[in-house]
Amino acid sequence: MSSVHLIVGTKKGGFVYTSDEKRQRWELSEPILPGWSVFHGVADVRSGSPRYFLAANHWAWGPSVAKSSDLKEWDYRSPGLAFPKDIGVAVQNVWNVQPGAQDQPGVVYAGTQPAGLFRSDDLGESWTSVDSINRHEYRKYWFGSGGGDSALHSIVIDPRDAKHMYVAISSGGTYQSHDGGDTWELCSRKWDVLATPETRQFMADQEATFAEAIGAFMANVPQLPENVDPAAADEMHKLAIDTKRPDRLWTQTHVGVFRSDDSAATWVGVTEGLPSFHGFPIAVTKRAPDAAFVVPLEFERDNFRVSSGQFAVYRTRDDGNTWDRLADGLPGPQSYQSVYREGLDTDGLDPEGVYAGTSNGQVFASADGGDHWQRLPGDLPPILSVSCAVV
Amino acid sequence: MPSVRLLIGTRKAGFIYTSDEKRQSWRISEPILPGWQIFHMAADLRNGNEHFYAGGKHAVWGPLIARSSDGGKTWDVRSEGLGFPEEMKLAIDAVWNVRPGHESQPGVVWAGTAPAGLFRSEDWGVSWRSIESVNLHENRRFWQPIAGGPTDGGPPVQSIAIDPRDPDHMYVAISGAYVTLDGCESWRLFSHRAISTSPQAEIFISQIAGNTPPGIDPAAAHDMHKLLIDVKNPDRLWTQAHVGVFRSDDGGRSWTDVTPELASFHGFPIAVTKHDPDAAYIVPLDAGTDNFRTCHGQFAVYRSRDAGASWDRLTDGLPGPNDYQSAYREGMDTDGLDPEGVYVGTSNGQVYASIDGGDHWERLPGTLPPVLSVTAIA
Repeated sequence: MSSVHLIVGTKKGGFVYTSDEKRQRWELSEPILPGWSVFHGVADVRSGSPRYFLAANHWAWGPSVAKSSDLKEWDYRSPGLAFPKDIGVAVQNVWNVQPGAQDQPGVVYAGTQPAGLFRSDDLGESWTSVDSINRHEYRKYWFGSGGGDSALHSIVIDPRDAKHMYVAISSGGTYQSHDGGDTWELCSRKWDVLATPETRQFMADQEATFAEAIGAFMANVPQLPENVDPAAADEMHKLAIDTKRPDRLWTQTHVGVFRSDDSAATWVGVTEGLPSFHGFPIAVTKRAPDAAFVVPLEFERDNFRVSSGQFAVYRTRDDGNTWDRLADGLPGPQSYQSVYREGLDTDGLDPEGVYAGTSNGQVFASADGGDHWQRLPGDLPPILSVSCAVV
Repeated sequence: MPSVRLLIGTRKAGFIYTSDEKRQSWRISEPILPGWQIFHMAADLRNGNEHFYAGGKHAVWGPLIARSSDGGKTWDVRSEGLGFPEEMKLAIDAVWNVRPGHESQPGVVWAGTAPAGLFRSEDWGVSWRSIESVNLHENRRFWQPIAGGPTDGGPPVQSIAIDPRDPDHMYVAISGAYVTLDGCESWRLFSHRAISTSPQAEIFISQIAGNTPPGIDPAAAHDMHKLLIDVKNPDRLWTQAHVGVFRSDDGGRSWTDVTPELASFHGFPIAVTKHDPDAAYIVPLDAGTDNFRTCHGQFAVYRSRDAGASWDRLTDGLPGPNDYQSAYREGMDTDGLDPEGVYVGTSNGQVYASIDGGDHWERLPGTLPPVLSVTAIA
């Protein structure tokens, strides 16, 4: 019988929950790399024995991709994880780590802040800068948003074609490669963003409210090329591919939830029916039946950015046309939590489990597609990521 | 008529809990100033008034000292005059501390900012002015930024304490703590007399060596996370410093390291009873070289009833095992009632109350944003 691992990254270390396939009883590990900020963790199950990678960053020891084959011994040396000197920036944090395609068993990618993509061909022993993106002509338009400098937070690989990849940068747009990362094209500029009256009004309000701050900021930012919609180049918070149907992408952006059915050629806004267009994570089932999950946050001019008293996950089973509010077993009232961009995942089992980790260190699991939720043991440091592995 | 209130500052709003004097049943307000990071809240009950102050910042709108005179329903966020003199070329990032002034000076309110600044209001918090004797202090160049504060311009004013017997006698804790005996004309460093004896603290001490004023022992408690005065016995000061817990019985002239009996030398908040019997409370955190800085598995408050000679570990009703929370520097307070209540708020947004001096704790309703401050008013 397989076991299910939840790899949880927190502001102060990693943790692993373990259960059998019934997913009723969970055990929590001791902290892994305590004191490191673990922005993201992933199990690489391409070969027989799993390997684990953590995007682990330490205030004194710097950024790393830590690796382990037993979840006990961790090697955080990451030689080569640095921009070429002439780019003039230093890696501050690793935000995301992503195993390569099935037919490239040694390949691992890492996304960093300031925005950068790095590739390892030897399972994380050494790293090289992917200069095609790190020196992209649009780099000058990349800038930080709420979380410091720009960051490359999503790395998506088409399961049919290792050469077909996407990377999403906050703020700076989302880019697609068809040639294994030799060339990249901006693919977020074509989406039909700001489709709803609410999001249009929101953007207008923001511009009015923050006119002075935006003006001061924009004075230092080069103007975008003429054919790029500045709203589109702005920011996806999380980009996900539907591995069941890889022409389909989902994204939770700063200003709405969007779906593409043609590999980012066109985008449809599917925010209607959600209580808010703002949020961070998005997750999609790995097997049929199809479902996508988001966690809308309150976000007005005041920047409150929490669930509104009752913590709720929203699910669509019809491509975003309608959304179900899921709250059974989730905390409230008077619960003001958030979920960060890597804080939501599905496990690919049948029935498919869904997991959410909160800014308040709480982990919730549903073994029935979100209808009922159970709180897992522990009060962890603020949770930055939750990632499932069936091993 | 609610008679006990807890003013809670969080990373994304303020909240107010209310109860009667039995303190058995608590109600929580809606979020106050949502979207504002509220570092500290204070209540000013002098002259029969009831002003609440909230110090903090907003991602876009900057630093703030908001003021409410209707129990927290409406807030004035104007913070007039809150800024450094132009020649300092320094902007305030956030307000960390608000402290009503001495009983004999109605209307006077103090505020501490990051980067380090002391500000004074004489009109119940409507307008503010910079206190140059602190803000232009000759030691300013030695003031080091701290984790959690702004990276430029130096550390915050972490604590402001006033001698209840003498309005001219005040303390501020910055990077190094200073005392004035002449109503802010001049300030003297005194924290260098608190010398750490914890071998585990050496790593921290080595990190600041070289950034201390000439002639100062690097083992001194430069970074007093929280400094407070025992209002029952105002010659006595307590501090939870970066490198230990210290007590002074002579107004800061000499200090005793009372860390040895504790789980860890590191922590942030410290609270002392306002009435007899005497007790002091702290929350030790795991702090090795790795910077973990949480309670490790079991959240525990430590209490001393013998001036720090021994400590009781209090966990009944506090969360664990598998609990990795912290409490921030303003995250604990006592209410001055009989028996005296103790309150602690955590980094995970949980608030715990004990009405028997810490023997038993109860979790109050709500899961708030990370709790930065707890202020009890009875």
